[in-house]
Amino acid sequence: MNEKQIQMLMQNLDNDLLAKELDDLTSDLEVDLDSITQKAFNKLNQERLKKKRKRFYPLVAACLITVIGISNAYAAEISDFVRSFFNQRAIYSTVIDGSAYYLESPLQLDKEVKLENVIFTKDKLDMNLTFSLIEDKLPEILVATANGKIYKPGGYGYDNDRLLLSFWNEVEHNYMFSPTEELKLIIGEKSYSIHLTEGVPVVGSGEINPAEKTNIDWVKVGYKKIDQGVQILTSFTDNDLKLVAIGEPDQNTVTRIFKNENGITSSGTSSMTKPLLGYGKDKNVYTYNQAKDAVGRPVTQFETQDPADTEIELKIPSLLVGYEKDFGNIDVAIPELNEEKRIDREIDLKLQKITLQSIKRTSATTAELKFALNTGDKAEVAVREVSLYSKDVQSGDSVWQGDVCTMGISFDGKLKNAQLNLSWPRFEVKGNWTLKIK
Amino acid sequence: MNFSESELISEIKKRNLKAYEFLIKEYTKPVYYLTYNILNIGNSKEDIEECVADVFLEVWQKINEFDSERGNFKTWILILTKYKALTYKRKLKTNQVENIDDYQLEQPDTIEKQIIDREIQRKLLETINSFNKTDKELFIRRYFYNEKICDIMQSLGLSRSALDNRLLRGRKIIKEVLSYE
Repeated sequence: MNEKQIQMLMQNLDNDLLAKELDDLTSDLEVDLDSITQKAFNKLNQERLKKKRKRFYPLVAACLITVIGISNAYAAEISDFVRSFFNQRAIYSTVIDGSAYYLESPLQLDKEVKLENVIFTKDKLDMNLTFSLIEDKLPEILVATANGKIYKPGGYGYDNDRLLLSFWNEVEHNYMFSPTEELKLIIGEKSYSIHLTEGVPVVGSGEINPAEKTNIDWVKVGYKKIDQGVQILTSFTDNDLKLVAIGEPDQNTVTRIFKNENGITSSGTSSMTKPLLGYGKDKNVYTYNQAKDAVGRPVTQFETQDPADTEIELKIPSLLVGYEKDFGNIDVAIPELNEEKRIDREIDLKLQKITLQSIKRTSATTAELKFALNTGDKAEVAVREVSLYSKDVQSGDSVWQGDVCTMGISFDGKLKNAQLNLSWPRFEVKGNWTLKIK
Repeated sequence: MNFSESELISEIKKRNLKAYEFLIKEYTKPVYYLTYNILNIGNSKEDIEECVADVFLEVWQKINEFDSERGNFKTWILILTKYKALTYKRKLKTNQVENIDDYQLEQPDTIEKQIIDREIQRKLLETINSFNKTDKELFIRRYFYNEKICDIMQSLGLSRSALDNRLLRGRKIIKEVLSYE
């Protein structure tokens, strides 16, 4: 028996038979499987950075809020109304719940690197830099805060020397932060000390005016006047509910696509909204657009060219809102070719309900799922989209329109069951609010 | 969640993170052992773990280059391990130039995938287990890990002739037990 033959035999041993021999050989070694697993996943996450969800924030200088005006009707309810905004702070063109810090003015870090803006809150740490990437490769970047936390980029966008960084807590694998006023930004071997400014509380920095009363008591809408128009304020009884955008959606049909190919890639229709319309006492109609070059999402500042001395009724037909949380999994059995199976499984998305009605096998490797939307009892709330994902399939695309969602999935022909995960639902709340702007 | 070898390869291709986790759990020991033997002297546990983690990332990235019809998955992983560990070794020991040709590296497709009867596998392992501790380690390191002779000589404190004799003697015993032609 020669070396090659014995080598062939040894290298083709089944893993289970070989395990004991390897255990014997490595018995003197301290193999820390947990540590290796964590390192391997960290490396994988770094590798997948570009494919992760990216959040983009265009630029704007911080906008001063100067508010005038006198509280109007519903005086008895004003204190409750104002109290609902106690926790909110204005940062750039948005309003944030809880403590929040931002970079007051752009900061030249060195000859080539300029920090344009920073938003640091309990669920986001985003930065925008003027920065040249070499071969589109992100250098080692991290943020160290005064309270000893370390954050690393969890996603980034790069275009024309403009680098947008969205950090995450790599140790805990989440987007939960402890915002601080001071932080160190480390890029490669360079370290920069950054001082941030705390956002201005919306209560106490000017008059907040409520919208005309509506039947929806779980949403409060108000406004403050600013130089170029208004800052619209919203608060929800449900603390988990987040504002996504103000106004009627620009597109009524939403499509979402995901692929399990070289990581998870996904895309979908944006949540852009139409401009708001203001009706003047002079019978003119004025357009209120989201602030130009806004920083921070959702944009709550709206600018207009209306004459300052005209009383305007600003209409807000809808708000887009959502939950940034997981709503669990559904196990779906893949039917035989051309077979259709009824499922009729209701899914409670808190603000509204949907029902997975059926699945139909449309080819050896594809199937179609049908959902009925808005099966709950809140007539004023319509489901706009839900993130539907399955690790078991190759790709999925869903179309959300009116009261129906159709989802196509592509998979390996041998697949028998697929687990479908539902998360981050978004809703349109049709409140038809009116702001009387004086 | 457990995967067979073919399921594991297929699921990694589909970017299933559970498969990545299983890959790490299943192959850490052989990968670690080989990395340890290549990097051991003067390198920390941290360096070895970083290198092992890099091997798994490389398996994930290069999975489509692996031809399961032709090659043996385990051998392929160990070959990636060798290359990665040698790269680490060169990086970590900047004063010492390592020649990659010094290492006997089999290309991924040179060890053919063979289905070997379980009974033959058991007999082979029983025979190797009947060897003394040194010979057993010698066989596994030489023929499973494909380690170069001079490295094994050094770590086991054997001369070249002693090592060759032990290997020859062992192969003869295995040949008789398996009636191998």
